[in-house]
Amino acid sequence: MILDLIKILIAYFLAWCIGYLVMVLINKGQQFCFGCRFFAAWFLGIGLFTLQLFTSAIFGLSLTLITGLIIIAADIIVLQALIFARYKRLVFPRFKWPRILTWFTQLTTWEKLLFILMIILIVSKSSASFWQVYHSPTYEFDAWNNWNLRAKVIFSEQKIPLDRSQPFYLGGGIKSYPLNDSLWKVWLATIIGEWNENLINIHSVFIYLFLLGLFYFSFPENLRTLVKIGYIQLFATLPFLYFHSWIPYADLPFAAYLFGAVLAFIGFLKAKNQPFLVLSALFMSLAIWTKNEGFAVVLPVILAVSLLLVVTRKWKIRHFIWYWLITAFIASPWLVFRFVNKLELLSGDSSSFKLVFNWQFLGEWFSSVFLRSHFNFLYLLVFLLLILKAKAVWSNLILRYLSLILILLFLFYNGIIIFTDKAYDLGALTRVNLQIAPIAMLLLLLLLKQIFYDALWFVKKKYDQTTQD
Amino acid sequence: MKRLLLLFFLSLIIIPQVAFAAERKVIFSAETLADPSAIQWQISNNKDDSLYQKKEGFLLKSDGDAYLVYSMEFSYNDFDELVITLYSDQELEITVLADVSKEGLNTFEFKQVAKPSEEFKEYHFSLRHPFFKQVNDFGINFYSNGPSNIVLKEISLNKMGMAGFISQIFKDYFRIASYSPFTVNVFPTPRIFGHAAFMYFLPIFLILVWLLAFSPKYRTKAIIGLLILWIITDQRMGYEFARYQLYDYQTWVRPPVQEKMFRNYDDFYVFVDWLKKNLPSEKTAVNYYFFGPVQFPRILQYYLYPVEVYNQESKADTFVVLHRDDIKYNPADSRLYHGGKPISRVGDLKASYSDNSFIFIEK
Repeated sequence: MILDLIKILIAYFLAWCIGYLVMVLINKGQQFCFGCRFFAAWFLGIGLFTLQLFTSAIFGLSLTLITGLIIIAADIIVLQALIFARYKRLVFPRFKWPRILTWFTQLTTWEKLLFILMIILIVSKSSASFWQVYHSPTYEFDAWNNWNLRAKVIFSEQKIPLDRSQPFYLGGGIKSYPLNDSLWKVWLATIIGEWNENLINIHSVFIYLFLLGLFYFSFPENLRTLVKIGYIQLFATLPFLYFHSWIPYADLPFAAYLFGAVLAFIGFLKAKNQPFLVLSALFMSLAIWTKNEGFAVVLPVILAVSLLLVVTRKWKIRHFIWYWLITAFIASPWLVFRFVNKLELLSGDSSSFKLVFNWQFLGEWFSSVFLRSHFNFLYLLVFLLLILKAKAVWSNLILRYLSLILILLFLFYNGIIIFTDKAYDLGALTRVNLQIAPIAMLLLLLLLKQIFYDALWFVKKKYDQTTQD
Repeated sequence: MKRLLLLFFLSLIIIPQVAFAAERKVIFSAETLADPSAIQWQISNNKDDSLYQKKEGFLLKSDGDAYLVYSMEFSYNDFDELVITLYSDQELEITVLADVSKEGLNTFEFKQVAKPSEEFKEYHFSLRHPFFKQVNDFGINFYSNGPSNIVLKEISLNKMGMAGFISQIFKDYFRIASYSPFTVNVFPTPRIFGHAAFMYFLPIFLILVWLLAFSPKYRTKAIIGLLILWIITDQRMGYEFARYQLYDYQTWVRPPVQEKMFRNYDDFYVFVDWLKKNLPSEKTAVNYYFFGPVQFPRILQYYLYPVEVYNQESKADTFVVLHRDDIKYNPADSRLYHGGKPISRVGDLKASYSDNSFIFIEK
């Protein structure tokens, strides 16, 4: 088991190298801090690598260890060459432990204690998740019917079955589901040399940890360290989010890609620096490559917001064109494939949408999202504050657009359940709201910062509410 | 003075509801069963619909899924607790069902497990739940794996006192539902009196949010209050997850292979492991006959791939049978029979998992 775990860590590290080099390549002007580069790289590396695996398989290559290693080697060489062409240097990641130690020694006693408590909490929670995943067989419906089934089939065949008449077309299950999650599991199985679901399902624990890291480095810089550490603990224990670190589904990875896309989108709005725009487009395309909601729900929302930004002259037209060109180009292997093969838009028959009012779901929907403990009281608090502080939110560009994105995503997701005939039941309700929970948590933090703008226990120094974030 | 007045009015509302109204009505005992014409009990879903008097109670010979049904119109304002005193020679899952003759409403809050014993034990069920807002009857289901002898001493309907009422709030809040595949989509808890527990925190939550938004003086106190509320829920959910893990440890991780059970799929995964070891490697398809949830064939398909799984068909030459008493191997003609009809050609039993679970291969 130890040897297999080491192999799995190597698999993650190799993908991380790709992601890190991409981050360096786009990071002109050092816009991203090391923490941001470090954690975003996991998601970028995994998504871009599986997309290339997919493309290779479509062109008939076997999905063997050699194929994967060639893709990684080629990526590293090409990316280093591009980095050299752009910056006249090569990149080797350097972990500066002394700097982290210096940072720790500069904390106050309370901050040190809270930091240690945070580490203990996250280690204990992720260990519990690891134990759970390692000891459980594949039990949840979409795991054995889709994500893991497709991974196992593709791993066994060493190719993606492309015969539409066969039951295991694209690995079986629901054909329209994108293959990011399954192909990563194929790669993990290839690296360890067998289909060991107990080890492969640990992917969800890794995603949980990477998401925590990315979330931490999304915080505004002028927050007190005590607040940052405390807030990451609240995020780490968000019940439904933590619970999905046990589950071999794609909702948690999708939530991470969506969060990355929106975070960088807002970052670009604030800083107007091109790297944010490119990073957002990359995350956006990988969200499309992870779950159908990326194309069917997130894309229209971000498209509408970006159009609004053009109309209100917050974006130039070239920003808009670049953003969507990059998104379309990166996601093109999957998008072209799905359109050529006429795959459904969502999991079921999506040939038509009928507008109906599912009043019978209303009470259960409200209770599930707002009153039960899936997300603690996150959504109730964030939406109440948005209403009560509407004027302040409107006067702040970042809060305004982040709120708009969250509200549109929330209405779109929940509107499909409440107002269309696609709501067969409320099965997916909580999971779709999980996907936007990191965005809601970030917005809540920014709202609290707006409220406590002059409280020196919250922010390092008083700031101008209307312009800063 | 204002505080005293407030306390007085609050006590007028609360105390009559929960303290002075406390009472008890025994509905099943030697005394209540003495007059057969006044009995409101029925036994259903059981071959034997009689009770046998024993020294300390009444014996119910259950086939494994018997119901006791009691007809009485009442609401949880009349009686909000049901107490059953019994013992059984088998492990029982006791479920209370509201309006059993019509809808049979129940949730995890109305389920309790009784371990086999020879000593009476009381099982308390809170009826403070929307299902018992107004009922015409209710049922008690005794489910066991196989027949069981249940000795019932007493069943009573109670009205909780104040202490019982308050303790019920905490019992409800910390009651954990069993883990199910649907947990991936939704959590059933925490609840109090059948409602989402957060509803009871809502007034204080709204006040805190208002203070946070509009009161510079109290906003720090408000955020601390909200933080406390948040952490309470976190801890409650942490407890829930720990209970899931403890359950998996006790039923799946720790027991020896022959006793392992995984949640509501029982020994299915143990059988799958056994099958993977015993199915000849050259086989490319199996006919799967099973007893259990409808998704079993598709889960098996995931585990056996690339072997194809046919759901209760006779297409392949290999038959995989799980917990089917109605499918037998007949040594006289070396075939499998289902309901008296042959479903296979001549073959051999390749391996047996249990009396009613095996692999059969045609020649």
